[in-house]
Amino acid sequence: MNKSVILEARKVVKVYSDGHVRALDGISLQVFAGEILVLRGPSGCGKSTLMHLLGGLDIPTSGEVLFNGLPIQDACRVKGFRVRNMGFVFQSFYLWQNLSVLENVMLPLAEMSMSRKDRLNRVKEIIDVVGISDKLKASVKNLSMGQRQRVAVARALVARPAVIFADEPTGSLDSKNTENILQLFRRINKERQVTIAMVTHENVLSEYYDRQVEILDGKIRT
Amino acid sequence: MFLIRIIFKNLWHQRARSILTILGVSISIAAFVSLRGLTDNLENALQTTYKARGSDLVVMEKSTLDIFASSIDQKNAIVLRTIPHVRKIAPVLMYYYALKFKEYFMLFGWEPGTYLFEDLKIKGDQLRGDHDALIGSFAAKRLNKTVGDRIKIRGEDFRICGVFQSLSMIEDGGIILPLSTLQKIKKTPGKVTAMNLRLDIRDSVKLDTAQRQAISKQIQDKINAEFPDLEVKDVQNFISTPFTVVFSFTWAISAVVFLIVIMGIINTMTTAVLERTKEIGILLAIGWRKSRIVLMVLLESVIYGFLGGIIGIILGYGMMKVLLTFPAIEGFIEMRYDIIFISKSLGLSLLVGSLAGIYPALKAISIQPIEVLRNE
Repeated sequence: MNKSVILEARKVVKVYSDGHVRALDGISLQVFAGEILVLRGPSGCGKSTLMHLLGGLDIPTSGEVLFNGLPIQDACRVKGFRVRNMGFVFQSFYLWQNLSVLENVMLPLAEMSMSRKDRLNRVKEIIDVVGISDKLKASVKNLSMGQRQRVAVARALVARPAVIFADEPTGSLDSKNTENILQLFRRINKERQVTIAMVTHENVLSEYYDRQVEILDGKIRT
Repeated sequence: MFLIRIIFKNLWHQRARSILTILGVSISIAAFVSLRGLTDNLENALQTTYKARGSDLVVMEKSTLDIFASSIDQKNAIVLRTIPHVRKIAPVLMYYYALKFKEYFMLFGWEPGTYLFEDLKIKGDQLRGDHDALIGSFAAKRLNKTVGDRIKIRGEDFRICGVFQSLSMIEDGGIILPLSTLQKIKKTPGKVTAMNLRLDIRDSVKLDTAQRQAISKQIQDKINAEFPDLEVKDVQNFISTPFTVVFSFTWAISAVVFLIVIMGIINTMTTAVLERTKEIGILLAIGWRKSRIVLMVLLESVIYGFLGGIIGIILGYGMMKVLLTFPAIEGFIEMRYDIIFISKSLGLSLLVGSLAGIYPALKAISIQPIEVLRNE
């Protein structure tokens, strides 16, 4: 099957402002639409930096990142681009503690022109997909770690983005919840054809990804 | 609506801090409402006094700050009477006097037979003798006096010949004595505080408002030209002039209070923004526009202003009610609920909230999502 490139890093270098840390050293990488790509490597190897650049959250010192062939920084300036095309899942979940599950998942939809009813239906549908329908009105403070990460996944999915960036999504979870989240990613990927770029320092079973790239000292390990 | 819901949850999340901030706003608005409300109501009471008497123009001493400082020669009435359109003249002497310890009453010296008495509803008799006194119904209540009782003013004994009711709170809380008697008591023979003029154009059906105003202006110009020591004003302007100083004073106090409140809200909101650095960073990362973040922070700040304003207005009127029972001002000012003043006060509290939200809002959009994530 001939897969199209959705994201591309071209000779990307990232040097942090103090000039001493070269986090990425000329990385070139393509992410194909509909795949699960695992960026794996030890702590401090530059994998999260690469993900931040691919997600348009940071600017490379040199080189460029393209989203569907367009420079990502230009694309991110378009109103609604980020919310419609990118979802983010983080190790620390970053949920609003004083909001309910429903309200947390609804956050990205605030940027979309939708009726209240449509928003509510969309949120309920996604919460059902991640398997926490019974927690809809619960405060996220009262959820387990695994459930919190499911809320974060639902929040990343709710706007139906093309790509989900997951930075150590299982880093705060036990082995059972880790497996559940990875299974969830695989299911979402298959059912919704969402591209997933996942950063991890752990070994991931090959059934949960399509391609794995090893990063070491800011370079792709061949 | 979703944004409002998030904002209220944020406020509820830090209940104690929110309540204290709202309380701070309330107290400042209450101070403004009670201070400004008192002066507004005093101005209104004076205007009602003059309108109730049916005066069109008031002649007083030139360049005096307020009417109580004015002292003019009663003989001026002879010349003033000759000016065209001046139908009636009523000299008035006003004397703010404590009949009991710190219990002040307004004493009015009126010439018997002048038009000032026309609309008074009197129970009892008119002023007939030198030592007759007409007492306002509110003053009668304060002094526990009625028709036939006697009252001592500066050592002189007066018979209360009647109790009157007036539309004006100041009159209703005061005592009317014959002009010559009050001049003697006050030791200002031949002097009056002001001359009230009634013009013959006031009831003319042939003239419209603009024409009446033009004629009134001509009369004022003529008097101002012929009497260098006197100043003539229409009732509306004459009341407002002395209050400009009082208003400036209340504004100055209010401005300082508002500044303190703005700093308080800025402190609260900046703390809230700093506490939510991660959450705001993530909102930006997931695609929230900066304008929405600004709106969220500003609205939160405006809600502090709004809730503080509502409570402050209620508190302010409560404070005013208490202040009006103080003996020094009791009987002079009537409690009045002015919807325009209430709206202005609420508008002011919203403005305070908006201004205070600007810095925290800018602080919020200066958050870089990447910095938040890098610190993970």
